[in-house]
Amino acid sequence: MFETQHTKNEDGSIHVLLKGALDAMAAERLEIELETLMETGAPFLVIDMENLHYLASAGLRVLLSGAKKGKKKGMAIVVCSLQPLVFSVFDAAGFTRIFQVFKSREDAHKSRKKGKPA
Amino acid sequence: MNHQAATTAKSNNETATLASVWAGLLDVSICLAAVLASHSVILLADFLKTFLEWIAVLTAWAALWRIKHGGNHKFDYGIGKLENITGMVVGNLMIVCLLIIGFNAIRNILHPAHVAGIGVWIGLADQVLFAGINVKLGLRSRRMAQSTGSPIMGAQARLMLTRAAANVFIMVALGLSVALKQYHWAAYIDPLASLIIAASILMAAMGILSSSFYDLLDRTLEEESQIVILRELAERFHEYEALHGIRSRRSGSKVFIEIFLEFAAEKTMGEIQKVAAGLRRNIEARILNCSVTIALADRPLEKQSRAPRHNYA
Repeated sequence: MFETQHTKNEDGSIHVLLKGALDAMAAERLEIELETLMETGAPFLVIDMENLHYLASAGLRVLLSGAKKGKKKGMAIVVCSLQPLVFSVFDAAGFTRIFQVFKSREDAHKSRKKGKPA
Repeated sequence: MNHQAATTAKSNNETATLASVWAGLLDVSICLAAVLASHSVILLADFLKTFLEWIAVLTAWAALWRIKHGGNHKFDYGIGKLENITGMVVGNLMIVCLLIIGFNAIRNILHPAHVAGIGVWIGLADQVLFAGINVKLGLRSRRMAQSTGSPIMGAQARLMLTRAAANVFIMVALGLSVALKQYHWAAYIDPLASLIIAASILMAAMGILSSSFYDLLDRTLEEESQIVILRELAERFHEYEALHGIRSRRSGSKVFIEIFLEFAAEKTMGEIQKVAAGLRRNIEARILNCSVTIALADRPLEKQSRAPRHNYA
């Protein structure tokens, strides 16, 4: 079971909380959701993986495509709160080179204020 | 591996497999003689199992022979599908053999009879001889698999060593049936042992059928291989504009991977060629038996499959 929950902050940034398992089926849903969020023109997107316990290659592929699309649209995307198992997959795929990874959602949002990801 | 070394390795693989074909044919003939001259269900099971294994070895040799003699050039994706189709045929034959063994074993359990006749001694001698031959061929195939990385030779090594273990099992079951024939219950050793052989055939049949079936349907790559591809794409993240999809197809043990990438309009063909070659080289080095193609695309894969329009680099 995969769920997402997103909130728009006052500063215009978006926080997306991923829950459950990001497998091939869920990846298709996430791809559509990310495309919709990118259309909003928000400058900063935090993908929160605190409640994500499984990340398949299909999910990674969507994140990679999302990073590319975000770059085109001027949207900075960061990830935070990765569980150890999810982080090991994320790191093995070399995605720590593409995304800035933060330990907590607070750190992720603070990084924007400091101007890091942009 | 250079061209000459690859040709030598293919030739060695073919020679080793051909030796297995001849050894198998001899084994099948002796097993048939033993079955005909005894009342043993386990020898019947051994004959059917040996025959099926010989068909599998014969197919592997035929595939290697076709590759060596250039038949491969007539088919763009190789002749791997032949292996998959043969796998399905062998799997189905295994199910038929299973029914024959099951029927005979149940008949002998309901009407127990001690194994007897010259066939038992032929069977025992056959098991001793072929246990030795299978160990020798298995170890030789394993050495070749290690030196060439050939999955066919790896499969051969596992097959031969498993056959050697089966030879020992049949030898013990037959030996006990003969040695303990003064006991009534010893008549059940033969049919019960044949059911164990039947169970091993069933497991092999299920494995072959499911693997061949999914390969024929071009099942997607394993997660480990997908991660390898994504890692390469992540490392070259700034060298392309968009990832529009990854697609793979299988032909026997060979995997063909297509990666659909979009590049910036201002990039020259030379620059694109350099990125594509680097990606291809690195992925092919990390995924065994794969062939990578980088396709130039300007929209996601699903939309392309409705209206194909891409170039290959």
